[in-house]
Amino acid sequence: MTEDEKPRTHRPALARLAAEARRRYRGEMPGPFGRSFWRSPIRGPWLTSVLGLVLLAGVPVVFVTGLLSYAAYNPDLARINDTTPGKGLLGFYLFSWPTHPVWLYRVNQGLHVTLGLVLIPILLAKLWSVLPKLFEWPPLRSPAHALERLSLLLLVGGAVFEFVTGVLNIQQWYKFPGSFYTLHFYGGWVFIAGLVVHVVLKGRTVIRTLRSRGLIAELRTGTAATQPESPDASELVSPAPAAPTISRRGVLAFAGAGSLLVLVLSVGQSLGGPLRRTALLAPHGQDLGTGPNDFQINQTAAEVGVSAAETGGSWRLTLGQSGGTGPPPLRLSRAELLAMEQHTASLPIACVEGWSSGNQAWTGVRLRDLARMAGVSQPASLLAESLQRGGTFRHGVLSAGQIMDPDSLLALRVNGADLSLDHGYPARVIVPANPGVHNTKWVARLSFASS
Amino acid sequence: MRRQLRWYGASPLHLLALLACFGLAGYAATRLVSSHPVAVAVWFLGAVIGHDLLLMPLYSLADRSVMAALRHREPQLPATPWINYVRVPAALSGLLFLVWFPLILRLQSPYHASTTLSADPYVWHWLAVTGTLFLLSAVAFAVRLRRQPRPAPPPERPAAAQEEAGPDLEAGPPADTVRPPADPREGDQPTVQEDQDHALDAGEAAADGAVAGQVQRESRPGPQQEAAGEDQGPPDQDHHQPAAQQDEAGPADEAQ
Repeated sequence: MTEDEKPRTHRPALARLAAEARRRYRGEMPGPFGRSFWRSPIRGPWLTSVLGLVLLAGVPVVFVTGLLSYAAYNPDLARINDTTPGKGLLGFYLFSWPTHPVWLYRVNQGLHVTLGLVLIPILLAKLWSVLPKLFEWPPLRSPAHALERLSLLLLVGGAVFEFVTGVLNIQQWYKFPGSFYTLHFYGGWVFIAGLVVHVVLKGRTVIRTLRSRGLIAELRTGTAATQPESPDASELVSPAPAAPTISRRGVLAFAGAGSLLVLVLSVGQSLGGPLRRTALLAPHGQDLGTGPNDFQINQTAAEVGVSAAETGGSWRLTLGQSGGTGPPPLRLSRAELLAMEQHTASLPIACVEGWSSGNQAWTGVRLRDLARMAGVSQPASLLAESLQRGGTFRHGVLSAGQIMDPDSLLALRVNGADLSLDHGYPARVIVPANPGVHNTKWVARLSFASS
Repeated sequence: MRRQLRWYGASPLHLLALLACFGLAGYAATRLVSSHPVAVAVWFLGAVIGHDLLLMPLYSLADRSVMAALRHREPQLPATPWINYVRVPAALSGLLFLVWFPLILRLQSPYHASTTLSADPYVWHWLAVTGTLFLLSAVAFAVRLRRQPRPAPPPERPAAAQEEAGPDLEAGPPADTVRPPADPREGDQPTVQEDQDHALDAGEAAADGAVAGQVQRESRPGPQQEAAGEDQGPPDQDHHQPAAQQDEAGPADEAQ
């Protein structure tokens, strides 16, 4: 076959296919409800299956890291830790969040957010590949078909809802109706319910389809040689295909390039260090400087109304037992705390929003030493309260495991300097592998509960 | 039992799986909507409508418009397929905007107050990335053009080709018109597309859709085609050559 002949045999074949289809679909529904409205020659079950498989590899990771993120708040420990108290059975998996490895929450959250972002182009491509199904006619063919379409509404609605709320939240544009935690947690379960049933119902089709066309062969096929898939029961293949302007491998590379671009422009905010500046499009991609307190901040003292007057010489830490039990609470000045045995721990700060700061050298008093001082030798929990008046995370409760970890501190200094006001001066909690918002800043009161 | 199954339209396991799905989703949904039921429902359905009926038609229309607009200039354009060199950087830039528009447009008002970071650079970052993407694409296209043998000078193209340039999106033609309605989200390669349509017109007009007419046409440009009077210039040269070049180009094709 010469170069000249190739397209000659190829294109009339397409033309014949289109003509046949047109005859067959004469009298079909108008507009997008008619099948020949959809003319992409590359839409078909194979492309959809490949994109679906990529999502199937990624979405469960995002889902599981999301569930772990909720567990990291120790919602079962106290009402104030629980952002979704109505969870009921959906909290079945909760466990006491560990303190080691110290990077556990950092990696979990970086993975959740970054992988979620990276999957957006794949999700968009996948939804593009199945759009004709939205307009299929007749819209309801049987009760089974109707129910399956309803589950697809949950799947698509749930997916877009989850990605949109997540993306808006990491940019702190709180336009969604209600608490992010509530929406994102329950929305995640709706999404996953739709996803599981979709995988169950389509799994065999996907396997069969992927076997029908070799991946390697497909990756070797350029635009000119791209042919529509053979018509199948899914009705994704266009009956009147246009000539290809991009191959299937081209679409896969296109979506992959989108993922890669999003990754490169955002992952720096989770890696930190010199790579932070590579995150050109991510909320925490800017370096703050090289000083001891120049690492990322998500809430300044000014924003939450903590003034220098409250944190000055008159500041005292109230240290006692919860519920007013035990001896009367102690009131300790910062100088008294500095006079106690100091310990230094190298720990990261990681936010639920996915960004984090590398390990900082925190210096302060061990929480377990403070528990003993409050007269609690075997603490069950610790309520840390901030000077900050408003906000969900003005207080947080830590578990026994978190209190007893030798690296859990009431930090007074960081990287050899006093804490800055925005990092929680005069004192803040720092616990390994703890979500950032539970490392309470501007601590005013610590109340230990004994077991 | 069998009759009920036939009425349902699938196996009982199908029903069971779906009921389990609705059970779990319903359980979560009752908690999800408990605070702001209407707003949450609006957001949920808005997510579907916003994507499927707004975003996707819009980007498809944009894709289509670029192709249609540049189709008029086709004789001046190089024969190398160019659309992906526009489509890819534009889509990637659009993707970044879609994800990061609150940052780019500085919509989150307490950003500086919360983080001490400046909200200003993001719009410039986005523009710089967009510029870089188009630049890289242009360089890739230039390299591609250089590597190829110079195509024959493009033939004259009278009005017939241009009439077809703007496919009707809103009102797809009635099903019995000859030309199938265009898929708004698919770019098609103009020259090839026209060729195909001519083939159809010729084939159907001559033989009332008989396949024989087209089979005949496959072997060589037949009399019907000339009779249709739409194929201009030296037969095949302008239509077939670009495709042949595509074949040679191999992976560079979509490797942006």
